[in-house]
Amino acid sequence: MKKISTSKFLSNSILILVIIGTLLFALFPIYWTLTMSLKPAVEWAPAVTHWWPWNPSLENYLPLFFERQTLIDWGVLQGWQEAIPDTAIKSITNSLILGIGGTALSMFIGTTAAYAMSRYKAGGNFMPYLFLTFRMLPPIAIMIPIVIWISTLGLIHPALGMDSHLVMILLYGLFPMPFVIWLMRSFFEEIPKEIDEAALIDGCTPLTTFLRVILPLVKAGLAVTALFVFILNWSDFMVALIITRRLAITIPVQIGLYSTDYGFLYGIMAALGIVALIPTIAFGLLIQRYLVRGFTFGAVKG
Amino acid sequence: MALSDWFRIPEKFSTLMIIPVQIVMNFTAMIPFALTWYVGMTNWQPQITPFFWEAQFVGIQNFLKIPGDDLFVASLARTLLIVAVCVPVEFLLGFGQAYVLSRNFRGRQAIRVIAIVPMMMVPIVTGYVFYLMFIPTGPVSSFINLITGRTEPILFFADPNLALMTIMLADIWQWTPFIFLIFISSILALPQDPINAAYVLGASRGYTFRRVMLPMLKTPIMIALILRSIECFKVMELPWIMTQGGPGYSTFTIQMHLYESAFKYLKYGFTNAQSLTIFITMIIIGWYASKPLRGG
Amino acid sequence: MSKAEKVSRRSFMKTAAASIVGLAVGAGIGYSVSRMDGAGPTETVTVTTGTGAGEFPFNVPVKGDTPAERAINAANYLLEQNPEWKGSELVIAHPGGYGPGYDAMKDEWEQKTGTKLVHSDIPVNELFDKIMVEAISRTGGYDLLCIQPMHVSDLAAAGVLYQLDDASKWFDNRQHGKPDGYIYPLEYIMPMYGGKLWGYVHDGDVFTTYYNKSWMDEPAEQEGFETQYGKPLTTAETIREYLDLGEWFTRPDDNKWGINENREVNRNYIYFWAYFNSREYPNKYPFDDEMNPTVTDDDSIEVAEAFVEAVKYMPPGHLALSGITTYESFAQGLIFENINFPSAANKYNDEASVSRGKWITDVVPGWMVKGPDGKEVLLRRSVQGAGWITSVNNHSKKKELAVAFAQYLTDPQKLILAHLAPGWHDPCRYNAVGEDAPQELKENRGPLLPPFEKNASIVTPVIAGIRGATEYNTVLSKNLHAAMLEVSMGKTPDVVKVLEDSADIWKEITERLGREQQIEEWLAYKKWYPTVII
Repeated sequence: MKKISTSKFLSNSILILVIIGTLLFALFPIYWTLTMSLKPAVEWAPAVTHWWPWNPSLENYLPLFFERQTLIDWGVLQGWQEAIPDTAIKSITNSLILGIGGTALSMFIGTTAAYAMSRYKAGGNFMPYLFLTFRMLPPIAIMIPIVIWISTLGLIHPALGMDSHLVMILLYGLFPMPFVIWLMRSFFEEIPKEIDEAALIDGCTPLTTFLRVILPLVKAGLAVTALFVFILNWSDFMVALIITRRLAITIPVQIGLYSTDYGFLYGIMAALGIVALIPTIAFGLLIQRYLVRGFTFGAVKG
Repeated sequence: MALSDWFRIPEKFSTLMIIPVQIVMNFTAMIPFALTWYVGMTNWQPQITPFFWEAQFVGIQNFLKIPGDDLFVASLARTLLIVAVCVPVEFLLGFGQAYVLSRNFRGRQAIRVIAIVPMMMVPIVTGYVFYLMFIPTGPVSSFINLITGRTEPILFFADPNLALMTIMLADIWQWTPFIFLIFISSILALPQDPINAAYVLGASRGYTFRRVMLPMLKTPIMIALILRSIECFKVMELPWIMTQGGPGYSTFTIQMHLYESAFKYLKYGFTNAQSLTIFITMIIIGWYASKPLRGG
Repeated sequence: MSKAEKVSRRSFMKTAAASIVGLAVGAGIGYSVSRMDGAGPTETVTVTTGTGAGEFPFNVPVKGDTPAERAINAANYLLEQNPEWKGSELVIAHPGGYGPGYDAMKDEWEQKTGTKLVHSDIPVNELFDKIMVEAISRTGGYDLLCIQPMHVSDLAAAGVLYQLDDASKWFDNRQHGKPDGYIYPLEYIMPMYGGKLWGYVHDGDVFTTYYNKSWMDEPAEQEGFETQYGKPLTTAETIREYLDLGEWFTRPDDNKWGINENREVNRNYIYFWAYFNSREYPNKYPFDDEMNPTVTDDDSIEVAEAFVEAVKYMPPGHLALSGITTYESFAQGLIFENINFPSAANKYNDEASVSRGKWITDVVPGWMVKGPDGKEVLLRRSVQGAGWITSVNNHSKKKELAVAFAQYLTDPQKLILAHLAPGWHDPCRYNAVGEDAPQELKENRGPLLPPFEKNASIVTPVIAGIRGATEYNTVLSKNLHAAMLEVSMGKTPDVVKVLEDSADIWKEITERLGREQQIEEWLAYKKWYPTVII
């Protein structure tokens, strides 16, 4: 009979406890969102707790994708439920465009700058901290001046003005940029400078060194940073609220629309919340293989 | 100088690499940033005049009025309280979770992905869902009544302290995965040699952890704490959705105060001054807090 | 210093220099472009296209029997003058979910003028914030705005709204009087600021009192109430009676409660004014003629105490519920009475509602006050909760067309279509209430309609018509919420302190916005309050 040492038993039970804890803690609100999205309106804030939907239905997902008139024709909407905004399709596509575009822009400008800061000390020793301070500025402070500036630009060309995709991508590229610089800089610091020098000696230009030699080495870092930035942009409410009107409306603002003066349509909000989870989770699954190897953020070299 | 030299000569290349971020920043944010300072020194209110250059310039007076503004100070204190509670809790939970889940066990990939899902939920939806979870007829109250035998529903949102607690709970739920992700990656990447050497030499788990692993994790710890603190300080969507700052003013954070002061009360000028004060304060605090990362 | 430091210092300088150059270039662009735009606040626009030069709207011929017809004909005339507007879109900014009311009305317009209605939804709590940004951005991205009366003053002063006096008179959008004008004084207290008209009303939002008839009719209740309070069990005439009824029906063990009103943190001011405005003849105004707050006098303290007392008769946790989740409890048959929005009727009439068919409405209760001849008289005042008006964006690129559209959308007959559609376009004209209202509307709104006209004739506003209205109201609302919280926890709040704190902040607001102008605006607005005794 094999005797399991007490310390191993202890550590195994801790492991199991943590696993169960993680599952419950992380998943219960997700479960609640999911069930809320499957509950009909009477069950949203009922007199007793409905732990699962007593009459589950997909009716909360329909207004996201089908016009009001279509739903009325199908006889799906009744009574006061008919006072809902238009479909959420536009906001989903916009969020995807702005999320991906903003993330790409942010990664581009951040990674290039981070590389220069790591390898060439560009901008001095304090540049990274300067960028970090941008995150410290409360967004309110800069939103009104940004509105003034953007509406001025809008007079030159509407694509540069309020409620335009281009401007939103610029802002979504700008605001997470300190994040990118900080994270990518630490990933670059992880890679010994000898590799750079070896590549240069071998005849590579600095550009080729960057693109062909260094970047592949930080693939994991790029993936995780991109995930963070995408989540930051995907969740943003304030900037989208102020700048977008109807052409560039995003998912968080769309969710706000379901809090009407006539009632809070919790089920529809939950449905859109579940739909909004899908691209982020897909992104996460795509990069999960990079999480196996891990990275030390520049703490340990070699 | 030929164009291709920019790609070949290292010094030129470094300048080239900095240029994209310069372009985006200068084009998008430089003018607004300068304007923030100007507007912060005026009494601009759009219903007096919609043109900021016509607003009355008052210089430093706005900044001098700030300490006397009780609501500002109270919201600031409350926000600091939230940060002081949430960030350490998120840190300990995330770090502990990452430490335990970094082991090899079946299904570890799945668990690690599940652990980061909360971060992916749109914060507005998180706010509404947590609100629904904590209403008197919600699951939390029912569950607590179930196990403690109470019959009356718990009114989380009617009590100032409980309301603040629910908001902290929502924030912890949403952002622990951030810490978790940072640490699961760093722990997995630690060089195994020093650790194995410590075990071989007979060190206990605790000792190995404290003396071998922790020093190697210094950088990610600092990064996680700094980044998370800065973001937590700006918490607004969760209390906005869940309690609108109520009951009374008990869950009113500084960001909410700034938003309300600027957009509902239309004190564009004065609010800018307040925001800039916070900005400067955070820079000073950040300067001292990041000293270990820079030098020591 | 070492070479590395020199290099780093130099490179920092280079970056700084680049930033400054960028700043200068940007400033140059901004300056020159800003010189291109010059629309100021409240400028009247002169339309000089075509042969009929002159000021809009006087250069547009008036043809048609109804406001909608006149609007369509005016629009077609304007489209002839401005062919580039043909087939274009008119954007309305409105709260989320408000669209169906507009959609119900738009068909004839779209057919006859070829221009389309486009919705731009905004989350209702951020509506004011977003539309105010238009004052700074001046893009004309919206053509029509759906705003609340409380917002009119700030938006008009910031130059976001287009003045409609001339257009309203020229095209006669049936502003005043029976049979199909606006119920007096709605057309004054809602869209007027500084003596000018800034929007066309399309949603009255006149508060009414709802009662649970099935409880009221029970003989056991009637006997018991009369024994305890010495009055018969009928609808309340005074606030004191209202509270007594609330107290009588509060039975926590049976899960029955007397009152439920929406007392959320940012909006409970509406209900406060419902208790407050009838405390003095002819009205208790929140400010005196010098813009000093009156909320610190003894009458106000009595009102505030009554306001806060009502919390005792509400279900627990009520303070934290927002929006119309509060209506649920009445719809579920758990509540006896509430002073509330007219659109609550839609919720109470819903098929899922337990109270369906079991509720009635009556005029809002008031106070016994000293009348004009010195004798005590019952004074009742309703409050205009949060109605909506359709305004024209001053920075719209198709202002004149938008004016015509606004008239079309508030035409008396078209509004009936909106009242019947889901959403909350509430009655605001004489033709939608009373005996002659369309049968369908009467069935749809049920017992809401009979006292509607009466309530509307005594309707008073929240603080409106002066700049900073939102701020005055919200500050009071938050302070009151803190006091109500103490009541719900069983403590006695210091109501006097709440009122004094609010009054202090109000004084600061008035000073900041310019006392002279505030007094002017207040005196101009004050005269629209009703003076009747019913």
